[in-house]
Amino acid sequence: MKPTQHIMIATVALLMLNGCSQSTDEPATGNEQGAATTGHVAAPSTPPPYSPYAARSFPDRPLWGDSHLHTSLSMDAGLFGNRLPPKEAYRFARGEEVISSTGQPVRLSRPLDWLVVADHSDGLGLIDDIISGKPELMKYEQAARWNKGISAGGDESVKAALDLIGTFSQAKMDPEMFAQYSPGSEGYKSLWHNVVDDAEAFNDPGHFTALIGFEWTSLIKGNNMHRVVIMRDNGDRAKQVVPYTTQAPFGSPDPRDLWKYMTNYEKKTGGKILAIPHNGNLSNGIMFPLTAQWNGRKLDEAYVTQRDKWEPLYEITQIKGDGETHPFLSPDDEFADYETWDIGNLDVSEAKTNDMLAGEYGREALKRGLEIEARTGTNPYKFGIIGATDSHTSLATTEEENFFGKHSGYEPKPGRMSHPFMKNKNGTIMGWQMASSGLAGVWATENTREAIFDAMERKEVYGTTGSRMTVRFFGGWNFEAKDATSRIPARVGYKKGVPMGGDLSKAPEGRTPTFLVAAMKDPYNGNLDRIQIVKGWLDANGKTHEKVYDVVWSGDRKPSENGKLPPVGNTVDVKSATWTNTIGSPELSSVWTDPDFDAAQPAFYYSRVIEIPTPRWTAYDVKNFNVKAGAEVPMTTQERAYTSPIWYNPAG
Amino acid sequence: MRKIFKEPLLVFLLLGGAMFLLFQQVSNNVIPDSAEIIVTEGRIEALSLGFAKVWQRTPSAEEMDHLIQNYIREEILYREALAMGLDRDDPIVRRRMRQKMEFISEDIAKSNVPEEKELQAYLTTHKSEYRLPTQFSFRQIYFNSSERGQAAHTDAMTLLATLQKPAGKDIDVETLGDSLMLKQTFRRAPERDIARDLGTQFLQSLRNLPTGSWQGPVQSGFGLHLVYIDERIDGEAPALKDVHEAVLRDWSSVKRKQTNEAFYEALRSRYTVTVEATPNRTKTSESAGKVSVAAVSQ
Repeated sequence: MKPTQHIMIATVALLMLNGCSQSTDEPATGNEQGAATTGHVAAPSTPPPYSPYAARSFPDRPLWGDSHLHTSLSMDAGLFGNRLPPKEAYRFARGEEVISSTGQPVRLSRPLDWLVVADHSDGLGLIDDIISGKPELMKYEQAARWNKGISAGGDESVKAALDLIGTFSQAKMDPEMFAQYSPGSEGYKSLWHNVVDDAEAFNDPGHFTALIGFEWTSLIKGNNMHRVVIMRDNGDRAKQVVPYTTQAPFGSPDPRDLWKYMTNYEKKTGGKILAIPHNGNLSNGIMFPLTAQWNGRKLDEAYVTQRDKWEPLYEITQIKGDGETHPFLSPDDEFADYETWDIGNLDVSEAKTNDMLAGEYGREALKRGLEIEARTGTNPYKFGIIGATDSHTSLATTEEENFFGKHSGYEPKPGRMSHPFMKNKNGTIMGWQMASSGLAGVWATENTREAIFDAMERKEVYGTTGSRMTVRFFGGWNFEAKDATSRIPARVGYKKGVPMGGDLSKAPEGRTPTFLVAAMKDPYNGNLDRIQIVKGWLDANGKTHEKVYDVVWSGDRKPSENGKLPPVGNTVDVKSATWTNTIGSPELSSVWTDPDFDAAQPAFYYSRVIEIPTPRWTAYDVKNFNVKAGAEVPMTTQERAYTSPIWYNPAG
Repeated sequence: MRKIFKEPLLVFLLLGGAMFLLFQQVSNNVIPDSAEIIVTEGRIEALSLGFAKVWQRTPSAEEMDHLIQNYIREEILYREALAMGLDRDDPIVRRRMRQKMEFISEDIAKSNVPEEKELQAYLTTHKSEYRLPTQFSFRQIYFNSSERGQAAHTDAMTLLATLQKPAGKDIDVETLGDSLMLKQTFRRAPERDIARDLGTQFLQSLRNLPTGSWQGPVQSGFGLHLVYIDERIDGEAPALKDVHEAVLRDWSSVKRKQTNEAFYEALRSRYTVTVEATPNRTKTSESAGKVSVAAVSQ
C-alpha cells in the first residue's frame, strides 16, 4: 500500500470515530448514499473513545507559511543586492526583527508557522563568489567582467546583473565555470549540505517547521515553467541527493525529467517529495497544455499520470501577479482582473496574446483537467491551491503596510513604485505592479514537516493574497442550513463530508452536492465582503464551463436583476492609508446547494473569500514617502482566499 | 600564562607582531634578491595531487614536466608582479587579501570556548530574553459589532451584569454571545498565541485584567469580548540547564562579533588615518594607538 493511501485511510477512520462520538447528529454518510470520501474503507468496528477530546482529530487553526522564498544564495537575488542568507530568512519568519539588505529594520506583525527556503538550484551560490571575486573564478572572462561591473556600482552594476541573467536565460554560461556550481561538483554538494544544515537548525517541531526544498527554474525561451520542490524528510535523506537543475549535462528544462529525478529520490532514500508549479501567467501558454507540450510532444499517459502524481498543488498567487483567472477567460466574473500581469512571459522577451491565456491560469487549468481526464482517464491538473511570496529578499512579507518588494532593489524607498520593473520593446511592467502576496494556510494536525507535507499531499490547503483569514470548506450530500450556524463548523464538516482537496463521486439518486463554507477574518485585517463558490464543469459535448456563485455576504445587500451583488462599499482613506471595519462582517458561513447540478457531468467547486477594500501597499508608500502616484496605480485592494477544490466525478 | 593562551586573539597578535619584525629584517629589499627557484619535493607532490583530484589519475611523466614548468612560470611572474607592485591597485587582489584576513579573524572568533560561569553571567544580564512567556487560561464571549452595531456594547454590559452574580462563574459560555470560529476556552495560551489569534490590543487589555471574575468588554480584531481569566501564569526566569543550548548559541554569536571587531580595532590602532577634505566634508585625522589593545580582552 502506498503511504499516501495509508494516511488518507487513517484520516477517514479518525473522522468516522469523531462522527460516532457525536451521537446527537445524523449518522455519517454511507456508501449507499453515494461516496464522500478520500478513499474507500469499511467503517471501523472500534467503539468511540470515552474522552470527547480524543476523537478531535482536526486542527483548530490553519498553519501559515511561505512555500517559496529566495535568499542571497539565489543567483538573481544576490545580484540585486540580497545579502541575507537562509539563517536570516528563518529568523525573520519565526518572528524576529532583522536588518534587511538595504539596512532597514523589519519584522512581521506575527510569526509564520513554517517556511520553505527555495533557492534556484541552477548556479546555487555562484553569485556570492562572483561578488567576492573568488580568485579561482576570476580566470573566467564572464565572471571577471560581472565582478568588475558589480563592483563599479550604479548603472554599471545593474547592467552587469541584467547581462548575467540574460546569459543564463539563454544558456550561454561558460560551461566549465558553471560546472563548478552544478551537481557533480564537490562544491555544489557542500553548498547543498549547508542549506540542509540551516533548515535542520531552525526546524523546531511543534513550534516552527523548516521544510527542505529548492526551486527548479525551467525557462523555455523566457517562458516560465518553474517548480518549487519540497521534501517531507529530514537532512539525512535530503543529503543523499543534490537539487535537480535545468542546465545540461546534469539537468533538463523538461518537467518529465524533473519527475524522473523525483521518482529516483523516493526510490533511493525511501522519502517523499512533491513539486509546486507557479506563475503560469508568465509561461505564454505552456504551463497547462491541453494536447501537447511546448516541444510538440503529446500529453501521453506517462505525462498525465506523472503530473498528477508529483504536482498535487499549484501556487496561484504571488508577487509576480495573481493566477486564478483573467478577464478574457472569465468575462462574467467582476473580480477576475486582480493583480493581473499579462504583458508577456517572464523576461518579456515575447509579448502576450489572448490565445495563450487558456494555458496559463488556474481556473482554466482545472477545467482543462476535466477535459483531459475524459480523454485519457487521468486528470493531470487535479491540484490544490496555495499562495506564496516568491520574494527574493529573504523576507516573507505579504502585509500591505510591511511590503519589502520582489527583490532588494525594491525594498522600501521613495521611487520604487514609478521605477520600471521590467522594460523592453514588448512592454513595461512597473514597480507598482508588484503584488504584496501571498501565503498558504495548511490544515495540518501538528506543526511538523510530516504533517504539513501530508496536508499538502491531500490538498487540504488554501492560498491567500497575504491576509490570514480562516477558511473551512466541506462538500457532501447531506449538509443542511443549520450546519452553518454551528460554532465549530469543522465538527459537522468532517463528519458529513470531505474537506477541501477531497472528492465526491457517484451522486445518490436525486441528490445534489451540498457545501458547508465558513470564513473568519484575519484579526489584523479587513472584514469580509462575501464568500463565493466557483464551479467548473464538463458538458455532454465535451465543452467546459464555469460559473461564480455569491453564497453569503455581509449586510442586507440584494442581488440585482442580472444576479450581481452590489459592491460592499469602501472606507479607505488613501491619504492616511487607513480604513474602518464598519462595513463587511468578521465571519460568514453558509450551506450552499448547487442549483445547476447534473449528476452525469464531472465538475469541481472551490470557494473564494473576498475582504472589504483596504489600503494597497502603494497607498502606504505614498503616505510614508510623501510621493505622488499616477492615476493608473491602484491604492486599494480586496484581499482574497482561494480554497483547494472539491471534485465531483460521476464515475467514482 | 595559561590565561594568555586561552585568549586566541592575543596569541595571534603577538605572533603577528613577531612575524612582522622578522619579515622587516630579512626582506628589506623589495626586488627579489635571490634569483633562485627551488621546486621542492613537497611542491611536486602537491602538484601531482592537484592533478589527480581533477583527472582521477596520477599524471604521466610528460604531464608532470608540464605541471612543473607551469609552476615555475607562475612563480616567476608572481614574484616579478609583486616586485613591480602590481598587487597594490588591483581590486580583486585587495579584496582577496582582505577576505583572507577576515577568514583568519573568523577562525579566531570561532575558537572561543566559554566556561559555564560565563554563560551563567550572560543569562543573568539577558534574563528578559529567556524568560518563559506569560500564559493565560481564559474564557471569552464574543459580541459581533458588525451585526449588533452600537448595541454590541450595551448587550455586552447587560450580560456582564448577569455573569458577575455568584452563579456566573460556572456558566457554559458556549451558548452565549455571537458565533465566531475561535476557541471560547483558551488553556495556558502563551501571550504570543493570544496576540496571533486575537490581536495585540486584546492581549494588552488582558494583561491588565484581574483573574477570577467576568470582565470587559474588551476590543479584539473581531469585535467585543467578555473575558473570564481562570489562571495567569507569569513567565519564570529559566535555569541555565533549561536554556543551555540557546544561551550558548547567543553567547557565541555575540562573542564572535566582539572578537572580529576587536581584531580589526587592534590592527586599526597601529595606523594614523587622515581623510582629506573635499568640497562637501572637512578633513579628519586620527592618530595611531587611539584604540588600545586593552579593548581586546573583554
